[in-house]
Amino acid sequence: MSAGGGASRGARWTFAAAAILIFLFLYAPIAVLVAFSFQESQVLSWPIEAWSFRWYRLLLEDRELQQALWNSLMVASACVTVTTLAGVPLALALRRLRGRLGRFLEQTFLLPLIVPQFITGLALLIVLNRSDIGLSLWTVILGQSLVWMPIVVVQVHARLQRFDANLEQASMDLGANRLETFFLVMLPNLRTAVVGSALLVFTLSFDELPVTFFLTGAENTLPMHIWSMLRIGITPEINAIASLTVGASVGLILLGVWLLAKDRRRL
Amino acid sequence: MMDAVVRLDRVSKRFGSLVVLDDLSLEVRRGEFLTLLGESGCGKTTTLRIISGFEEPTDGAVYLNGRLVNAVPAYRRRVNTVFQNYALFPHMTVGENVEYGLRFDRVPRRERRRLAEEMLARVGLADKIDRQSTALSGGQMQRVALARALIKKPEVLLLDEPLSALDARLRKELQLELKRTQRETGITFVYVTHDQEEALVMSDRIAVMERGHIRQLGRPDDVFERPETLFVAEFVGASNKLDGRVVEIRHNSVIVALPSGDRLEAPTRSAGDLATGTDVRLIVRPEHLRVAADSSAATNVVRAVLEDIIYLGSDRKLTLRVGERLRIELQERGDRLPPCLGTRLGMTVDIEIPPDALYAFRKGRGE
Repeated sequence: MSAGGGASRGARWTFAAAAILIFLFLYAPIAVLVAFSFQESQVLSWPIEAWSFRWYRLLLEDRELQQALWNSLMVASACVTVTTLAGVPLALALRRLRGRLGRFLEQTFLLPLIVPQFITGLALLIVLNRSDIGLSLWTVILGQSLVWMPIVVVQVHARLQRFDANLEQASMDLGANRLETFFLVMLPNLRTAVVGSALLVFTLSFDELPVTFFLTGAENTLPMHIWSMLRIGITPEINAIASLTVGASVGLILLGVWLLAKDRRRL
Repeated sequence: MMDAVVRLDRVSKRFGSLVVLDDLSLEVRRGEFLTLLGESGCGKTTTLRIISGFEEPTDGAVYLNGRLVNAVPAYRRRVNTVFQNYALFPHMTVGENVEYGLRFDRVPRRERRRLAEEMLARVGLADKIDRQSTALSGGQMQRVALARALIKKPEVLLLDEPLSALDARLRKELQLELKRTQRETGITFVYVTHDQEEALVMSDRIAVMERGHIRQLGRPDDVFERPETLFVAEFVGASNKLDGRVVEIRHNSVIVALPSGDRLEAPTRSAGDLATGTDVRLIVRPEHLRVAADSSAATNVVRAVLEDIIYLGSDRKLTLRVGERLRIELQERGDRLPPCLGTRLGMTVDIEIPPDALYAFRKGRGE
């Protein structure tokens, strides 16, 4: 062992400490939130003196909150359906388009994801106000689908880049028509990209606030409802519903990332 | 019977201003092994794709079994392809890959499996039927790709450089295997390659292609021993190129003077009108050159400086310089070379070029 080895060990500890600090910075607030959701007392105070499921029980009785949760699930599911049914064909079309139009679309289809969401929301609100379409969860679905569509397109498009065009030809060579080729050869190879991006869209849509804020009518989604509850003050009930949301979101994102990574290894 | 399974009639293919195939006609006979040989970009793969239906000709007609198929899509043609990169479906097992094509012929599931087993046994992979297709070696993948195409019992099997990704030894092995499979099944093979040795080993006939044209179509020995054009002579087989000028016309031959002053007699064959003063290129294969015995008075002898002797196992390859600039190669079995040749490096030796081995082609003008 030389002196140099000792120095590099020192450096390693510094890096480890920095990593832990950053990790704490990222996740400590969430941990605190989860901890407070199990607090007995109405007032947030540290250290927690008594633990209970009181606020989780309260969730079971809160009709309004349950309706908001249900609305959010509906919106997220609808978004997933719309973005998948439109995004996959769009990605397929993008691959086929050559020339100027293809390049133009390839460079612009990310735009809705880059434009700040409240601007997208505002823009849609202006358009919808001009028409006779009233605001409702449907307009929320419309707005969010627009914002999240690029995720599906990007993921599927990226997978298609690595997809061997010869497979498509081999399939048709062996007697499959275009439709059979799509379902028997393309889709199985795109499946994880589709499922992965669908999961991402679901979680993102579930949390979405800016677009929803502009486009919703009388109904509230869960983030909207929590936000309105906050105006009264932070109650442990919010912590409880937030903890559940975080748990579900993290679960879904992990599933999505895992599916995408699994496929990357295989191809 | 010599009926044509595939007939291309004056087929042209243009991509924008790029002419890939130029008024090309070709008949593929039933049951033959035909190779399209040429460098990349000569149009051989495009020809294949026009037969398979992945490409439509800009002009001309494509017939399969005498039926015009220009507008028939690939999946409706009884033509199958073995792709260069195998193109096995990665999400399927070996067996599922092989039986894939039978789904569209309404073959029941159990029968498909049985036929797949049979095909895999034929290519020596019966035990791999339930393996994932991505878990095979390159050679195995290529055999699976072959089985997957053959199970459809195609009228014509198209092979697009199927062995180019494999190492040399495996390639030799699979060449013989492919040839044997073709003979046993009697299926017409159209094979695309840039490897002239591969073409010579396997083919019944070879079509040498260049810039969208077929320059020569014939048996391997025709193409190798009786090249009709300068391109074919240079492309097929290793060759020495000796540029010179016709100085004398004889009955069936011409005398060509080289820049070094040497004079060579070459038969005229089909070289066309070679008048005195024509610039010509003489082509001769390294294995046809001989080191002349010192005292020989043979004709067609050139003096050359022995620059190097390369050991190739049973053969030796000599590099020689004729005159100032011209380098030629001579290949000969080691035991047929004069002894102590190694001591003569840097010295002059007499090289004999049998007139029969020389091909004279008019230079410069396109073909």
